[in-house]
Amino acid sequence: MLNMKIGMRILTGYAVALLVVGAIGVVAYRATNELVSSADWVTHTHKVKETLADLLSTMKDAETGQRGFVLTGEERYLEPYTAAVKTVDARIQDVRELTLDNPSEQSRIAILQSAVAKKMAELAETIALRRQRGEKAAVEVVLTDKGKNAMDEIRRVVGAMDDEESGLLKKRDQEAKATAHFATLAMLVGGVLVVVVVSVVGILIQRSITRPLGVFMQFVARVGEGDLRQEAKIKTGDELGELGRYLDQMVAGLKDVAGQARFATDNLTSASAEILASTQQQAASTGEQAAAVQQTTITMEEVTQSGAQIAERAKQVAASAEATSAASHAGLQAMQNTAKTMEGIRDQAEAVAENVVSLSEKTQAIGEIISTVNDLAEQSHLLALNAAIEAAAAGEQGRSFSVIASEVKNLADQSREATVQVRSILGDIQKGINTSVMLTEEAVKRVETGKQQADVADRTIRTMTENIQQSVQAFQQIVAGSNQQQIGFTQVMQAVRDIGQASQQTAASTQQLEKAALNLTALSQQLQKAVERYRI
Amino acid sequence: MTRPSINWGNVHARLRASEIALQEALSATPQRIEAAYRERAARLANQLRQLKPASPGTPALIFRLSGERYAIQLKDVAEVLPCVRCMSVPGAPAEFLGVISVRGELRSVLNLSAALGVSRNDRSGDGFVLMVRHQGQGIGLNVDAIEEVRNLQLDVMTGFNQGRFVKGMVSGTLMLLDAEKLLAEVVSKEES
Repeated sequence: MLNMKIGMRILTGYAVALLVVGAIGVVAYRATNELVSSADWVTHTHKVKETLADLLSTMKDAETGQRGFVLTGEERYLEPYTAAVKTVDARIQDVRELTLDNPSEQSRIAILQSAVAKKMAELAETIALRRQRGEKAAVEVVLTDKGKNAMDEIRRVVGAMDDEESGLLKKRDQEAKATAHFATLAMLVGGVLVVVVVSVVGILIQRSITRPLGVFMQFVARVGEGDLRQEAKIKTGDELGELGRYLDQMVAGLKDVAGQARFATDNLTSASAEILASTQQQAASTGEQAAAVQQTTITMEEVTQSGAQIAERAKQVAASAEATSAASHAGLQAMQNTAKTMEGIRDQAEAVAENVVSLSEKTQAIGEIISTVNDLAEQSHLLALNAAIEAAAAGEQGRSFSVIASEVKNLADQSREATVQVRSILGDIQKGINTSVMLTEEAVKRVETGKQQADVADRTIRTMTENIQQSVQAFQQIVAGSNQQQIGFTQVMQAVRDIGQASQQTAASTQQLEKAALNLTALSQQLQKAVERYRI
Repeated sequence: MTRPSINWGNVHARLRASEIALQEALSATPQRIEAAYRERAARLANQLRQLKPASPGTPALIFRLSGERYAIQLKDVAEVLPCVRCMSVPGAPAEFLGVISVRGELRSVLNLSAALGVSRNDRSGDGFVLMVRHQGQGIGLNVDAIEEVRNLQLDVMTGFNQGRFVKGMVSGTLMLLDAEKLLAEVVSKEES
């Protein structure tokens, strides 16, 4: 039985108990049935006796009605008779049916029936005579005693039948009592038997279950204390053996889980410490971030202010650049006028150079004339010398002639000196002319240079005008750009404020995180302690 | 380089003034001519007065050659000619410069600097020819320039015997040329 499954064991026990209970049930059922049938027969007997009494009563009613009518002649006294006439046959039939199992009674019923018929006939005759001949005729019939004899017969038969039934009643009552006694005994014995059998089976089953369960409880208690180094030691083939194997597997799994948990808890402890450290670092960096955001906000405000100043300056510069553009247009006109004037100056200077050159040619003519005069003076001088020589050769006679020769020589010398002076002056004039030409040439060159410079200035001013216009456009773009920049700065400042709020929130959440990390550290330490309970 | 700007009014005034002065200078007014005559007469009178007490020295012609001043007695000089064209004669000695035509007659011209043994730097050809009387005919001496005719005190001549054709120094650094000796020697040499 110990190798059976527990379910089968329990089922077997229950089956034994059921068998016993069933046997007791069968016995009790049969006893009860007997009791019931005995009671039925008792009831039946009582009914037969009642029916017999009814029949007798009916007959008495009929006789009563007949006697009342006979005495009174009143139809209304006849009422019990008419009612009895109607029911008397049915009563007899009832008695016959109720006593079908009893042949002696059946035979008595036949006698009874004839007696009843006689009585009824006597009654009917008397009643008819009362009606037809009156009371006397009727009483005569009665005095024949045939009615009284019939009635006595009826009373005797009914009495016999009643006695029969009373005997039957007594016998059946005794049978019922015996049956009840047997049933009571059987139930008592069966109950004791059931108690004994069920107790034995239950104790067996209980012992077969609770002993391994106790082992398992101790085992599980030790596991609960954290000892994972044991085995269940139950090797039976039933569910408890399976439970033992499963428990072993469970402990092995727990051992595995505990090892992993210990490893994981160690990791968790270090990780939570790292989380705490990094959370504290984050808190510090969040503080720095808040400070940086503060500085950024201040800087952005300064930048915004300087941007507004830049925009204002750019507007001013754009205005002045437009003014400069207008001025450069005027300057361009002036430069063109200057170029024209320079050309005029050049033309006039060239005319001056032409005039001066023609003066130089005149001077050349004068120079030729002067050299002719000088030649003449030289010849006069030589002539005077020769005259002096001739005068000297003439001696005393030539003395006055030598004076004239000397005079001629003086004139020649003066002429020569005059020509020398004129030459010198002509040289000066020529030098002056050369200088004038050079100066004029220089002036023309300078005018040319000036014109070129004016052209350069013209181009420069044009370029400058274009540049200034570009600058105006650029400054307008700068103004527009700086306006957009202001908008952008405003947005950036809003964003920086948002960042500040976010960093404050981050600081708050970092504090929470720090608390959580502390809690986590505490939890992991608790977990570590809890895991250390397990002895692997 | 900036000059003060010119005052054109001044310029025009000066131009007009110089024009008027030129007109006046070129116009021969009777007053000017008379003034010139007076001045000339006064100067002549003055010169005659100076001439009278002039020293009765020997008249000489002073000329210049190779940077040195020479004197030659006027009695030896026949004529002074501008050295117009001097044709060189082939085969002639170095002292003989060439011949020139004087009023249709050919006259020899001596190279005086060569004869005197002084180098003549300026051989431009411009210069003068002194026609020196020699044995009835003239022989030319080419010189650089003629200065003047002057009376020289030959008795205060300092002795100078170094040069063959120089008689001596007169009135300072003036060398008196010995024309006769020069010509005699050069011509005889030429003829020989």
